[in-house]
Amino acid sequence: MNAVWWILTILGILFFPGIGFCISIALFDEWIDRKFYAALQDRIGPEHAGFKGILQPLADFLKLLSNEDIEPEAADKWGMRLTAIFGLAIPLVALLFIPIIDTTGLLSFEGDILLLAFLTTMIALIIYLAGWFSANRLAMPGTMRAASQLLSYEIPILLAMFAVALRTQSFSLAGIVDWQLDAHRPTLFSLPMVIFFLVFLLSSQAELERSPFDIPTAETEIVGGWEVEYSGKKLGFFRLSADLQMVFSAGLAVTLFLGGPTGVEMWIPSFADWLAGIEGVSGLAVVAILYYTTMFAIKTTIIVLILSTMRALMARLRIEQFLEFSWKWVIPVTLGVFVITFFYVPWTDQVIWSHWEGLFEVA
Amino acid sequence: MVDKKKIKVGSPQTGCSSCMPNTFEIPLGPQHPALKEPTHFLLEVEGEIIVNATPRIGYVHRGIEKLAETKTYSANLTLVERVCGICSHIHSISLANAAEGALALEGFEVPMRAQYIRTIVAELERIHSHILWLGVAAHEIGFDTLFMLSWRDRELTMDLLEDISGNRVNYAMNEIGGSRRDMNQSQIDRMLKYMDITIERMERYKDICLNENTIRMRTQEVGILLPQKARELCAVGPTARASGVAIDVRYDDPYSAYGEFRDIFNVVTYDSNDVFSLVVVRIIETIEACIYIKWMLKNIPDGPIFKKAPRKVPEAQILSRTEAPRGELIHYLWSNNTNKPYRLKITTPTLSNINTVSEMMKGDYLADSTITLASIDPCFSCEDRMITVVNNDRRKAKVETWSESQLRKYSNDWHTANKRWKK
Amino acid sequence: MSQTLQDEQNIVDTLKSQFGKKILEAEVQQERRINVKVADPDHLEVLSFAMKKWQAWHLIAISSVDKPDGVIAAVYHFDVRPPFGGQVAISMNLMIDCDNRDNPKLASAYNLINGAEFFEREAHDLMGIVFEGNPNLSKLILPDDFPEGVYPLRKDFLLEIQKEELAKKEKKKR
Repeated sequence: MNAVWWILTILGILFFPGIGFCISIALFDEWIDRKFYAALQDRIGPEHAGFKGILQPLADFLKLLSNEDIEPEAADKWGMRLTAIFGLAIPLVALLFIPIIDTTGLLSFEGDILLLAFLTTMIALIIYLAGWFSANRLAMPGTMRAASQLLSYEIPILLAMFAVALRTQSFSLAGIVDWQLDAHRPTLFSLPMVIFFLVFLLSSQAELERSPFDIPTAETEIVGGWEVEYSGKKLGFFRLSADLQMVFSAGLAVTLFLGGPTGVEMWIPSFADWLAGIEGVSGLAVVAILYYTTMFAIKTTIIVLILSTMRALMARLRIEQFLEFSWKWVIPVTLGVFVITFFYVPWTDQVIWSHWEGLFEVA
Repeated sequence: MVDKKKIKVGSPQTGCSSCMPNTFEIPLGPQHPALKEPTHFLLEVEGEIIVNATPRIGYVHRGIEKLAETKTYSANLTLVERVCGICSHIHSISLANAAEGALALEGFEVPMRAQYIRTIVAELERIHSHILWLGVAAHEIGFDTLFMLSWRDRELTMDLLEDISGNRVNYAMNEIGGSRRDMNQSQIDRMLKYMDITIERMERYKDICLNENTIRMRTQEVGILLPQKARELCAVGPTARASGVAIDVRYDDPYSAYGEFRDIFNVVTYDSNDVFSLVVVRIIETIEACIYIKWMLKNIPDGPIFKKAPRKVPEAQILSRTEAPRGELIHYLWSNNTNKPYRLKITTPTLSNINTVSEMMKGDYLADSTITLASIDPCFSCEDRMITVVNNDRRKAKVETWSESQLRKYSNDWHTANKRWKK
Repeated sequence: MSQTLQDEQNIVDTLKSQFGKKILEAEVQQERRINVKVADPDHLEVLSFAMKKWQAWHLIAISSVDKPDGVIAAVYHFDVRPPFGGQVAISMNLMIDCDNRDNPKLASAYNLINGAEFFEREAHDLMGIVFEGNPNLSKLILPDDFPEGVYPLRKDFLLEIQKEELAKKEKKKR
């Protein structure tokens, strides 16, 4: 804990892999999302700012910062301002726990998965407050929808997260990544975990309020729902926050199910040893960092592509259809599989997976 | 109205004394992302359920009926095309039919080829209007992919219309006594080809809409309009046909060239009485329209396309009924033996249908209000007609026509030249 | 007019025999069109009779006219014989004169056909006909602050261009 460590940590939080890097990758993922979504719809998508419009999300954000910021008279002004700031800050804080440049996150402790579970709920709560403070007739239904949607997707998300913790016998993201390295396979390749992965993606889509679950902000029904009164900087913050949440959800999915920032070294122990070896060497450490970051970016992008495909394929559900779907199907199924996981993980590990693992073992 | 400062955060607002307690009033419009044109619906909602809906129209009233009394018949053809941006051609057919009906009392007849050309353009207009509606409806239920793809396919029809008439919106094809533009063989061939493609695409969309789960979830059992109610509320066009009421002016009261192929004409109805039924009816109608166009193109007679009509229309009171893409369109013409109409009454399908929307919305979820409203394909500019600004200075107007290829080239050039932002 | 207009003529004859002198004028105008004129409250009887006898449920529109002789009239357009089994529809223009230009009043068809409400409100806005029995005759098309007693579609309401034309004519006369 010397001065150098402190400086490095602060720089890390501010630039790489902290706030600066997270915002860049969030904007990049938004561009990927928009381009891919446009391609699915036989459009071009962003085209002019930068290479193939790669700077368009940044340009949109800067444009929103320069827009006029209007606050309604009946609204709770400080509430609106604070929710906008917290809406941006919470996903940023949560992202610091995601392992990006290393197998451990920038901040990490045993049990950080509990904190992340709390933070994802906080994001939804912020949305609820954002609608509540803006005192708008159209924001009210949006707020109510956001609240009821929160109840229905948080439970599957939490169950999926804890199922992974149960499977890997670890309550920290670093521990989960390590377990996957040791087991020579991502968590995804354990049978019940596939179901949890799908549930996690589905619930992430709901958490991100993207079609078909963009019910709280449904533009053609309630004019943007809870965000109807937000303009200018505050809207820019919320938009950026949505991108960050997307990266956070994708990053969490990658960490929990796809081995985090690790890649082929899962199956090539010598490469893993070499990577572990160069982490201490100051010059070569850059190579390891670049390697992990690239792997993370590739995997996150794949998740984002899956999410955008889902977005393009379906029409928006109604709130009561979503609740029915969630409470009658997703939650019971997840709970059932969770119980199965709890009791049969030891048995499956010994009997079934010993054969399965043989496939990945490198002598 | 409620004083704005009295509104407390989160408390239900009871604005009018007549509405029930514990209901919110949610305004739908005049400005709303789901509405392409201004209108206003005051929705009383209990939680998410709509208890009552009160429409208020007239935001784009331009007084076209009054203005029509000051213009000659051929100028009026141009004017009534401006009643609506989407179903413009059918208005001019309707007025031309009315004037020609009055002339017919003295033995005037319009050449058959002109009637065919009018009908072909009218059916092309129906295709583009229905596909446009399909896109808008998909957008309302949050299915943007279908929206984009269907509008891409609509471009085929728009290209055809531009090819025939030179315009994409107001075609100006009609003159009292005939049509203003003829069609040559290459245009007919192109049309036949494009109609085949459109039929293929619409079959695909029919497939999607019939089988895609989320579309069915959003449209089935939404906006129910029972046949009995549809008759009571004077619903017309696809709105009535989707409730199983088989009325179609093209079949019931044939005008222009519709009498020629009455034996192959199908009045498309569907009996689930909801928005889903409207989707199905409109898609099948589009396919049918393609078939009619193909029949007409194969059977179009030779001959003149125009017969000079006398400028003065004899005194008569003519009711001209036509089927616009949205339903039945009425032009009721009083002529008084001059070159200007004495009174021209236009009743558009949306005015007949807007009443049904309140009925359809009652008991539905708030989330369904916009798709229900969009389901009748409202066209509020049709419904409201008034103009007060008249530009007297027409001397400086200069018209420059761009061909389609020129436009495409311009847009491509612009894209290459402006790849990066320039100062 | 060489076609047989037998169906149309039958309808006119039936109406004449049913209502006798209440039908002021009735004629077959052309193919599929019938013009009938009645006095004020009788149009409801004609409508309900047609609804019973021919199932005339389809009210197409209600027009309002400021006639050249200064009388304000409303015209109910409806399918007197709606289409059944491939037959063509026959529509009727049922004209009713108002007896008073300053305060034109007519009985509303709302109770017979609910859909008449909006057509009547439109006529009320633009021509000033008061339909007695219509539950809601508030402004529909014109703005709420439009002056009372001014009805744009009446002939005494002049647009700017109409005023200019009149002024030009005056000049020519001089």
